[in-house]
Amino acid sequence: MNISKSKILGLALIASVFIGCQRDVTKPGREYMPNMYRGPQLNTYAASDLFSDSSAARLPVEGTVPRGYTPYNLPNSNEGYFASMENKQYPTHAPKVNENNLLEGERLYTRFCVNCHGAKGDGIGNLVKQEKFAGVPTYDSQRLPNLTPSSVFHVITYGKGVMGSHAAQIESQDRWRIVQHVMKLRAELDGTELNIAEASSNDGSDVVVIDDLEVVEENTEE
Amino acid sequence: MNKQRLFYQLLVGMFLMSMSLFAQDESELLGDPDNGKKIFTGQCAACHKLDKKAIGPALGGVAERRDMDWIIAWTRNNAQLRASGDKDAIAIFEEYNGSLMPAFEYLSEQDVKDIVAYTMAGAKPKPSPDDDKITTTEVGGDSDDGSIWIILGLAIFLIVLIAILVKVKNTLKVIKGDPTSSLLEDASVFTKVAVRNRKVITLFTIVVAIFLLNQLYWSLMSIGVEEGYQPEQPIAFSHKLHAGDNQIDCQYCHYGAEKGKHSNIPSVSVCMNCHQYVQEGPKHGEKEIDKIYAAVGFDRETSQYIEGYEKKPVKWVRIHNLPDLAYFSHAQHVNAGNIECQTCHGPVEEMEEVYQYSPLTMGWCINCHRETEVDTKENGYYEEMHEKLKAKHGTDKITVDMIGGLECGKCHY
Repeated sequence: MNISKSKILGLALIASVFIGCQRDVTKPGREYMPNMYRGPQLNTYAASDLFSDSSAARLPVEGTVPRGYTPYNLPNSNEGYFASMENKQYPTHAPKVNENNLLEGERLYTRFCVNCHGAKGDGIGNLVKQEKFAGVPTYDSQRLPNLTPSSVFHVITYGKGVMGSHAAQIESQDRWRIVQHVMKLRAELDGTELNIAEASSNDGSDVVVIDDLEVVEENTEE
Repeated sequence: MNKQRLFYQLLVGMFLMSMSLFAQDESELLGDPDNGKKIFTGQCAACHKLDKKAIGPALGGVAERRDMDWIIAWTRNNAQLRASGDKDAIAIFEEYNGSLMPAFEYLSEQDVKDIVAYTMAGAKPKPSPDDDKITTTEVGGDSDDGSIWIILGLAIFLIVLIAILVKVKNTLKVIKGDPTSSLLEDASVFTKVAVRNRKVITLFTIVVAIFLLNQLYWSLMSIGVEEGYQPEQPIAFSHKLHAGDNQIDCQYCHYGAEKGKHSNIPSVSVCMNCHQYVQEGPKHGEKEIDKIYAAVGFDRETSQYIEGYEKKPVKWVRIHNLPDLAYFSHAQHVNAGNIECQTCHGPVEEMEEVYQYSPLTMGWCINCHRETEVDTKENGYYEEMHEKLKAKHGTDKITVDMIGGLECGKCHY
């Protein structure tokens, strides 16, 4: 009897070693000298009592602009959208239409747009195929007769309908590169080819700017 | 319009009437709901739902509220209708805060009638909530804990095997005329012999000691290593659904990875890019998406943002924590290194809940720097340097350690 008792004890010991060493994965593990690991400074996205919204991540100070910032002075309104349609050419500050920018535009389009708008721009992206999204327009000139590079830029910047603003995700110059790719897809859907020479010959002479409307700041939320 | 088409439309109309309890004026249902559905999902569904408000009003049963000619005029060019001073048109435009509906002049009158036919028919059949429940449990239940059953099956098999062997032994003993003994008796005899045998005891002690020391070693080695860390997140966000099934690019949300040191945690506005439209998930329904709406202040009923709402940050729990004494830049690894996200973060697109895939130890970093080859193609600026490096190390393959990937000051300063 003694032996079986000690046997049970032994088994329990071994079992407890196994169970005791099972880590709880929902908790971070142990640390040696945590002061070396975490300084007193606020880390990105950390919580902090210093600010009223208890978040260490701050928005840029009002009135400041990031380096390389280009103001966009069409407001997020119907008037702004119509005005953007009046701009038939790319503005002079936009990247020139060329092979490199088109390639970069395609790369970014494949990242940010393709899920809904589809690789061909026909509005049949993966999410539409799966019936998770519906009603995504094709870029062709029957469905969107008044599309111009500027109006595409306007919609990426502010969103339209259920499409949200992508200004926080895509920098202004990159948005223009995506526009170039969208115009290329539009030409292909219409059965023509994008005329790079014509598209890149912009002098900015016909650019419509609304000055008397209140300029709405771009969404700088990070 | 020829007679055949009219006859067909009449047939469809009668069919719909027989289906619909809210039978409409016959003339208004002269449309093909199947074609209507096709047009509706392709052109209208982004802004209109059948049963509730979205960007525009709910369209289910729209012919009960509006005149057919008015619907056609509005759909084909609503700006013109408004300009003509139509009171209803202006009122609805104002009601939806001047949301612009594009002109659909290329849709024929018949197309619009088809759409209306669909909204009348399509508003009817709605899946009962019970059906939803069945499908959701099916989706949620099937996970990969099959290995436990394999082990259990093996254990049962072995126990049965032992029982059979004891039985066989006893049967043989009975034939031979020896006294039989049960399994427990056999076991106690075996232990008695083993305990008296010093060699067995020594061997047993050594095995136990090695086992315990091994455990101790690994528990010490795991200090500061959080591999497998899988904290509970405030929102049951599934990377498997978003990055796997929906194939959304990692950098659609974590767009900062190629721009800066940190790969950003997406703000709620990025969630809203899709979830303004997608208001129900396949697994948790409205529950988890409501947490996004609570953070940003979005009213599910009206599909509008609540004005003056005090936004609340979502308190995600950070999984990958490098100590402050080590510097790491995402941009450098994503752009210059051209490293796939999965190389360090593992198959995130298969993770229902994300866990830390890599140990993130210094040894792990160094090892990768020793093995990863530098892409020297089309990098003319550094061509001469690359040639020199190749000559210096006597190899064709330039790895990260050769260009300073092992220098202390690169990561610790």
